[in-house]
Amino acid sequence: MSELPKTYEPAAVEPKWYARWEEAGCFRADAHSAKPAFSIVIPPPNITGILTLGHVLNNTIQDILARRARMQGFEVLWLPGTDHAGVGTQTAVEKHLRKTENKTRHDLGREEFLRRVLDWQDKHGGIIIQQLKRLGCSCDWSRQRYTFDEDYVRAVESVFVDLYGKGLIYRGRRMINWDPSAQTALSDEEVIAKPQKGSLYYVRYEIVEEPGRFLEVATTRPETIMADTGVAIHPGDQRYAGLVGKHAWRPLAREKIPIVADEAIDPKFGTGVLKVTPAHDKIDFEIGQRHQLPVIDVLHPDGKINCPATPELDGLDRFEARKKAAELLQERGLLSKTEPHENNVGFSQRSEVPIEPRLSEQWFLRYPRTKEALDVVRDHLIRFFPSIGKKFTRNGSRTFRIGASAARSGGGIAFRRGIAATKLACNSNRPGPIGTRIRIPWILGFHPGSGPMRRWTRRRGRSFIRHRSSSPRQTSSSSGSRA
Amino acid sequence: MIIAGLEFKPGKTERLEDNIPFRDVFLTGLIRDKHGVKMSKSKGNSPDPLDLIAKYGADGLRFGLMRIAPSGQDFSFDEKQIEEGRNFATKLWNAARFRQMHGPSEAAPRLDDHALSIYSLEVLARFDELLLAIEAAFREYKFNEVAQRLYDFFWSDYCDWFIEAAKTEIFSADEARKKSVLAVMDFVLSGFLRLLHPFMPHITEELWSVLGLSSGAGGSIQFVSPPQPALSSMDPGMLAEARSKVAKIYETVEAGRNLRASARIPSNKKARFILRPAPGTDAQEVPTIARLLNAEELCLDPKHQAEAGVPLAITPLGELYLLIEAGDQSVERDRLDKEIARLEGELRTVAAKLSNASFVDRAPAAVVQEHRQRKTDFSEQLAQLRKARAAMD
Repeated sequence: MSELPKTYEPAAVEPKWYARWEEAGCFRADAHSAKPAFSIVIPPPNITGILTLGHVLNNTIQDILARRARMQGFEVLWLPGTDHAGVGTQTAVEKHLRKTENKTRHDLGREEFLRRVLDWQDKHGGIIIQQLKRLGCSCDWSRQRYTFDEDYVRAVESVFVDLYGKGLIYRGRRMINWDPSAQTALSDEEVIAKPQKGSLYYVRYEIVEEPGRFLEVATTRPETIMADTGVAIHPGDQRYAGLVGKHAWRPLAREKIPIVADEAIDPKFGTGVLKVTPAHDKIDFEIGQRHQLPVIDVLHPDGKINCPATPELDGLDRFEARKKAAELLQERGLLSKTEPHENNVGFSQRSEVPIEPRLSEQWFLRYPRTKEALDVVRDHLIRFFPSIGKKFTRNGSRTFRIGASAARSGGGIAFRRGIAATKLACNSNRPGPIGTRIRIPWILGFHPGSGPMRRWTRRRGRSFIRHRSSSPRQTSSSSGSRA
Repeated sequence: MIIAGLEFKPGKTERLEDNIPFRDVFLTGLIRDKHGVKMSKSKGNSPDPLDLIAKYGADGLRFGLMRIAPSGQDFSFDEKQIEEGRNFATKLWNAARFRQMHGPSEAAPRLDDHALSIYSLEVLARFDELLLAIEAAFREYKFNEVAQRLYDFFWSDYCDWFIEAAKTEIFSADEARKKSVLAVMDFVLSGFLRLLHPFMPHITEELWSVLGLSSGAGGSIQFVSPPQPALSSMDPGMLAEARSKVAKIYETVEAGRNLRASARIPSNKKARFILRPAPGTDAQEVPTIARLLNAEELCLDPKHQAEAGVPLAITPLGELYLLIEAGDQSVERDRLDKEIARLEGELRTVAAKLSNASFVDRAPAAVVQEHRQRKTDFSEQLAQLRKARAAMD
């Protein structure tokens, strides 16, 4: 028996024991053990991540459960791994590329960029694993996985294919935040709203069926008029009673567009009449969906106007085009007044230019078995601590969008909503290597660039995997109907 | 994952139970900073855990964080709490060192071989209560409660009370008594280290190893089964009697400590006490009480007549006087006034309950009896304090 030193020095004790535990294989799970199994699957930290207090909390809890189960006589497997973290890693590598080679990922091309990402992860990844070890986590490191491991990717692909084959994964259109300067999609978190001083333009739309009568529309974006595919009023607005079902002349790229009634219209804003521009505004897109209005996109990805039908504006930058459009309307007697106006405009956190709502084709997953899943929770086959009460069933949103940029980066799928709130789960007293999870991306992360997925898509003679070269702009199926 | 399980059915059978991925889902809260703001790298309000590990050890960080993280709720981070995690590790270390100074530990002490002192029985009973409490907390995944229970048991029940009381036996010439109390220390320490191991894996392994608590040769604490209750086979009547004795002693000690505090005598400074014992007080426990009071002297004097103004507490073991130089009597006068007022309040409450016919009729007889006893006790204590107070006028 050695004598305990007078003062306790964690640094002299902790790393020493961790090294011994690892050396003795204390954390290694034996698949042939006669003991009952207890397993936890780590919510894999990002491979390029560094330890945060959140990780400490989360992993200490898992370690407590694992160590307690080990003492209680279970064969414990705490299965560790790291996540390739598509978006985060991509951003880091892009930044590095810009700095060192002054190149973008487009310059390198998809395959080369992917190779660079893997190199990057080899070099910078895995710090967090060392940090988890320092914390004392008793994971079975001999089984450590990475969500970019080949067989792992294959498993994910087969799930993707399976769900696609069942029609549960499909493509659909959706508004994303587009940064015209960086030419990339942004998450909502990367968009900063800033109050901006601008103008409110009062534009006159003549009613087709009643020549000489005009509807006045207040808009901040006259440069997108060519993309209007409808005019909307609130159904209860008496000022415009009887007009629904009639048409208005679109003042630029002149065309008949329908007048519709929609609850989303605020009668108090401007004149109470909204020009509906589904391709360039989130709310307008939804209104357009409700009234089956076509979608016309009049912007290039770099923010320049794409509308040969209006040569005065075609090719102009969106802000120049705004002024020019106002002038055109003025000349034609279709601008009744201009008022100074302050509103919130979303700015890109990266390039600090106003973002552009933009239609993009996205992957969606329609969740199967939601009723059974809810029943499982209702019947307490799965219990929540602390109890979540009825929250779970109320938030039963059944369709989840697969994260925009993540899917495009070819790195992974991220579900933005839904049961991602389930931060930690664990099983107990049951056999089988089934356990804990935190985030869905890891479960359904996929890499479409290789493996059976690609073969599968080729077999079917179509590519539903978006490749880097195809920009998210080839979106609206109705772009051909451009006026 | 629930949905994936139901859709892909990876289980051994088609049964629902075989295809759900887990049974229990535990939701952690968010860690916020001192001002309640969500922590984030960009805000710069999240401390680097590795700095915290460097300062307080991984075990200190783990324990400190677990103790303040309520199940499923957001909570505010305060580095002070992590520091307390490290302080707890230090406390554990020092307690183990104290044990080590008194000879080698026994790996698996058999308590049946020893005559156990009342203090030993008390700490073992509290240890058994701790086992039940943390088992219940684990069932609900209340990690913070487990941590707090472990903390309170070790700091207060084990160190402050048991070890202090046990010193009488450790330093006694009676080898059997000494061996008995050291065996209890080993038993509790061994069980406690195992309970604490999941929270503080490193220090518990170190102490387990250095103290030689492993039954096998050089075995790790990691695979040792959790402790079992110590007193499950003990006669409940005997245990209750021992615990009631200890309760009286500890209550007396606390009253004495309060007297010291009121008289502003620091707890580390020796003081002199006189106890005018109530009937049945066991003189044998006086050295232990004196130790717990950090008394230079504790005199048992059944005929003691105190001078007016000597600080007095009415305890289950009798009237306890703190002997101090007669100085400023106003302090003691104020203290007595406050104590009298407090007792009057207590007496009113219990009297009101007893005058409530529906309480007396409906409450279990034992509860009513207990209230009657309290009324008598309060009245007696009041009479004594009033007498002491009157003598000062």
